[in-house]
Amino acid sequence: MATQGIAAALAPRGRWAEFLQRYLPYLLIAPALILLILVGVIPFAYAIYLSLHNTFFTDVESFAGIANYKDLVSDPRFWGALRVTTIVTVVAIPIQLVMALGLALLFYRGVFGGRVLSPLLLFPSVLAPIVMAIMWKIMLAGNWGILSYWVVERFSLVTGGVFGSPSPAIGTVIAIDIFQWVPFLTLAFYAGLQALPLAPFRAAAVDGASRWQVLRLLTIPMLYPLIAVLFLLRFIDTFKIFDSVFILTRGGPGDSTTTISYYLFRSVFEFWEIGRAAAAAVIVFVLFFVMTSIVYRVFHKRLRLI
Amino acid sequence: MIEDARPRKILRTLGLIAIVIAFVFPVYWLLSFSFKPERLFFDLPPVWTFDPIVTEWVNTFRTLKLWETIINSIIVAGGSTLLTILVGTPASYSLARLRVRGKTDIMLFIIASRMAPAVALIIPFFLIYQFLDLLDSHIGLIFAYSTFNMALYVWLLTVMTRELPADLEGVAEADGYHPFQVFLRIGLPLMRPSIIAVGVLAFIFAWNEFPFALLLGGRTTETLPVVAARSLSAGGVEWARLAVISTVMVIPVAVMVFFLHKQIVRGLSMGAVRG
Amino acid sequence: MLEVEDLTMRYGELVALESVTLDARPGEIVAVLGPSGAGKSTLLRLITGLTRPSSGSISLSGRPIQKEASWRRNIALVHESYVLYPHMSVTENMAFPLKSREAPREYSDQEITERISEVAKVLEIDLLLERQPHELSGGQRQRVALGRALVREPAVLLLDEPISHLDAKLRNWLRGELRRRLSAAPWPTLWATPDGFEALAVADRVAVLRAGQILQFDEPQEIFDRPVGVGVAEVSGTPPMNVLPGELIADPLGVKVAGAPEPLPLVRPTQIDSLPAGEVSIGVRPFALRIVRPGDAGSSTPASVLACEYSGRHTVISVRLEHETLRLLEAGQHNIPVNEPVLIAWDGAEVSIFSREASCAGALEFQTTVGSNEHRAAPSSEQPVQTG
Repeated sequence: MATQGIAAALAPRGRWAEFLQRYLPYLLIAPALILLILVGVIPFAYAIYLSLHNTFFTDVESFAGIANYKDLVSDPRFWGALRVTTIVTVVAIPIQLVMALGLALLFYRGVFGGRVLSPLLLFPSVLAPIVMAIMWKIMLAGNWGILSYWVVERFSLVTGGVFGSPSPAIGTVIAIDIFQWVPFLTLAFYAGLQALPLAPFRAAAVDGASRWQVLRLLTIPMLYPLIAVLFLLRFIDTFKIFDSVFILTRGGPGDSTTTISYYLFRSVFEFWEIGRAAAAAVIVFVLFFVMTSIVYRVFHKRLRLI
Repeated sequence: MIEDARPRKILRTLGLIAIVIAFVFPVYWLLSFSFKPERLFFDLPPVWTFDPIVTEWVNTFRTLKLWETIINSIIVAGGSTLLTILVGTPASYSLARLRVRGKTDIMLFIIASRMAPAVALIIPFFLIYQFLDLLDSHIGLIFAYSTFNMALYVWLLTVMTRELPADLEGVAEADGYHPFQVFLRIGLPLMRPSIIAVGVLAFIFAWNEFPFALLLGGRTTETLPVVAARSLSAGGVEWARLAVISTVMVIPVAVMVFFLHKQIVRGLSMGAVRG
Repeated sequence: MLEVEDLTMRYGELVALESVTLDARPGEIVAVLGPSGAGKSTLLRLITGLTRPSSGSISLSGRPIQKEASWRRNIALVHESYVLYPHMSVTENMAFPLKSREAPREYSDQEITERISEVAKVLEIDLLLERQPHELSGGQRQRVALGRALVREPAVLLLDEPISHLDAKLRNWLRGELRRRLSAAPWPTLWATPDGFEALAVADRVAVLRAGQILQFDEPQEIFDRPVGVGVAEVSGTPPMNVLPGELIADPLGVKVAGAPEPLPLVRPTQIDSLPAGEVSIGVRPFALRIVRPGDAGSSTPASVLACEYSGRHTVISVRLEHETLRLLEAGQHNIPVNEPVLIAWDGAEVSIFSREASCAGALEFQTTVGSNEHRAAPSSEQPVQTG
C-alpha cells in the first residue's frame, strides 16, 4: 500500500521521536486550535475592540467607551429584533420537537420500505435554507403560488399575501423552520427510540401499564438526554436564523421579522454602524455562550457528548 | 423494538408515505418550475401538467455563466472541506484516543465556536479581510467557513473515533510502533469511514452556506446561494431562473443523502443518535 | 533476564501495585496468579511501558528500561482484551510487529511468511490466515493475538490471560504446547492468570498477586505445599484449600474447630513456636478430608451435605460445618442427598495453620479484594506452620 510507504517515510527517529511522543497529543490538536483561534477568537476579540470605538463606514476612529452599548440598549430596534428572535425560537422549537416525537412514536414499531422512505424524509432537512426559502416563496407567491391559491386565498386566511402583515410573516418564517427540521428530528427520535432498552417496556407490559403511562413514565424520561441535545442544537441554529428572512421578508413588513442576525446585517451593510453592530454581536455572542455552557454543563454527563 | 402485526405495519407505512410526500412535494414543485414554460407560472388554478422545456436551463447557464458559479461553489465548499479534514482529523484522533489535559475545556471551546451567529462574526471578518485584501477571494471564504465546519467536524469525528476498540494504541506500541506511526497506520485507516461521512456533512454545510458567501464574497467568488439570492432582488423575481439554480444546488445534496442518510442524521445531531 | 524491583503504581489515592519485586530468567515461565483486580494487567502494562510507574525499576539484562519508550522495548504483549487491528487480515496482523523498524532484526518477506505459518499451525489458525478479524470467533481472535506475540523474538513475552477464552480441549492442549515452546525460548515469559491450576501447571515459578502485593513468589510445588498465607492457599489448587477459623491448643497439640466435638490432633509440628496459641486460621486441602461412617477410627466431625458435583474421576462434595462451607474430594461418583448428615474425617498431616494476626492496613486491603469472610485476617502478615 502506498500509505504504508508514506507512513514508513514519516517514521520519527532518534531524540526527535521521544520529543514527538511526549507532545504528540498536543501537536495533533494544535493546528485545529490555531485555526479556531484565527477564525474565532481573534475576530471575536476584534469585535470587542470595534464595539468600544466610534466608526465611520469601515474606518475605526476614536475610542468610545461603552457609548455603543448605551446606544444599543436604547435602540428599540435592537430589542425588537431580540423579541422577534425569541418568539421564533420559543414557538418553533417546541412545536417541531413535539411534532417530530409524535411522528417517531407513530412509526418506530416498523414500516415497510424504511430504507427508501427515510432518506426521502431526511431530504428537506439538508436542503440549503436558501433553497427552502425559495421553495416557499414560489408556493406562497402572489395569488398564483400553489399555497396562496389553494390554501391562503381559498380560506381567506390573510389578505394581501402572507408577507404583507406582521403576524402572518412571522408565522411563515416559523412554519418554514418547522417544515425544514421536523423530518430530521423525526429520524433522530426514531433512531433514539430504536436504541432504547427493551427490558423496561416488557416489565411495564407485564405490570399492565397503559400506553399513555408507558409513554409518560418510561419512553419520554428515557429520551430526555436526546431531547436535551436536539433542543440545544436547534436552539443554537434557530437563534441565528438569517437566510429565510433574507429571501422571504427582508425583515419586513416594518421590522416585524427582523431577527438578531438580520438586525446585525442591516446595521453593518445598510447603515454602516459598525461599532454598534459589533456591540450587538458581542452581546449576542456572550448571551449564547452563557446559555449554551449552562445547558452543556447541566447535561454534560447525561448527554454523553464528551 | 417490538414489531407488531402486519396490517398495522401496512397502515403505518401508508401514513409514512403520506408524510414523506407532504415533505418532498414542495421540492418537486420547485423542480417543476425549472422545466415549466414561463407563461404557465401565473395560471389560476396552478397548472400541474405541461410539456417540460429546457429553455430556462440553457438560458440560465448561458446568461449567468452558471458553470463559473458552480465551480466557485465547488472550490469553496471542497476547499473548506479539505482544510477541515486536514486540520480536524489529527485533532479528533488526539481528543478521542490520546491522553490530553483539559480535554473537556477544549471540547467546550470547539463547540462554542459553532454557536456564534455567522453575521456576528462577519463584522470583524469583513474589516480584517478588507485589511488583508481577502474580500472576494476563494481562500478567504474557505477560511471563514471553518468557523462552523471545524467545530462540527472535530466534534463528530471525536465522538465516532472514540468507538473504535479500546487498547488498539497500546497494543500497536507494544508491537514496536511510535505513537505517530500508530496514528498513521492504525488510527487513520480505521477512521476513514467516519472521515468520509463527516466530511460529506461538512461539504453539505459549506455548499449551503449563505451569509459568509454573500458578505465576504464578491463577483469573482459568487457561490450558488448568492446568485440565487441575487436573481431574487434585482427588479422583479426571475422565478424560472430561481428554480434552475435551486435545482442545481439540490442535486449533490440529494445524492449524498441517498447514500449516507444514517450518518447525516447522526451528524446533524452531533453524534447524539446512532442514526 | 527481566528484573522488576520495588515497583509501585498509584492512581491518586488508589494503590494498584505496591512494591512488587520479581524476576524471570530466559526460558523461564513465571505465572502471575491473582483474581481480577489484583493488579496483573497493571503490572504487565508497566513492564510494557504503556503506563509509567510511580516508583521502582524495571530492567532487562541489567539495563534499566522504565524510562524507555514502550515501542523501543521490544516487549511482546498479548493484551487481555486480545484486540486485533480490525482493518488487517490475520496474516497482516501477525506480520505487523515483524515489520516494525524497532524489531530486533530485519525479516525478509519469506521469513515472515514462514514464521507466521509455523506459529499459525501450532495455534490451529492456519486456515484462517486470509480472514478479517470481524470474521473470527472470540477464541480465534485470542489465538491470533497470541500468534502476533509468538512470531516475534522479544526481549520479554507478556501474556495476559492468553488462553482464557478458548474451549477446554484447545486450552488444555495449548497450555502444554506453549509451555514446551516457551521453555525453549531464549527470553523470559510472564503469564498472568486468575486460574490457580493453570498457573501451577504452566509455570516454573508463580508469583501470587493480591491487592497489588506479591504474597509469595516461588516454585509451584512450594506454592501448593507451603502457602505463606490464606491468600495464597485460596488461589492454588482445584478446588482451592478450605480455610476456616479455629483455636490452636498447645497440649496435646491440636486445633479446635467450631462445630467439631473434640480438637483435631496435629501431626509433626514444625515452627509451632512462632505461632501464639489461640485464634488461628486452618487450611485444609479438599483431598485431605474424607467422609466416614460412624464408628470408623479417628476423630470425625458431623456436617451436612450441600451439593455433590461429579467430575469424572472425582466428586466434589460441599458440606456445611457450623457456619463454614467445606469442599472435599472423594474418588468415584457419589450422590448424597442435600442436607444429609455425614461425618467427616481430617487428615491431620495435611492441615496448614495460619496466624490470624494482622495489621489494620493489611486487613482492610484484604477485605476489599475478597470481601466475604470477615473473620479472616490479612494474608500479608500471616506466618505459616506446616505440619506435614
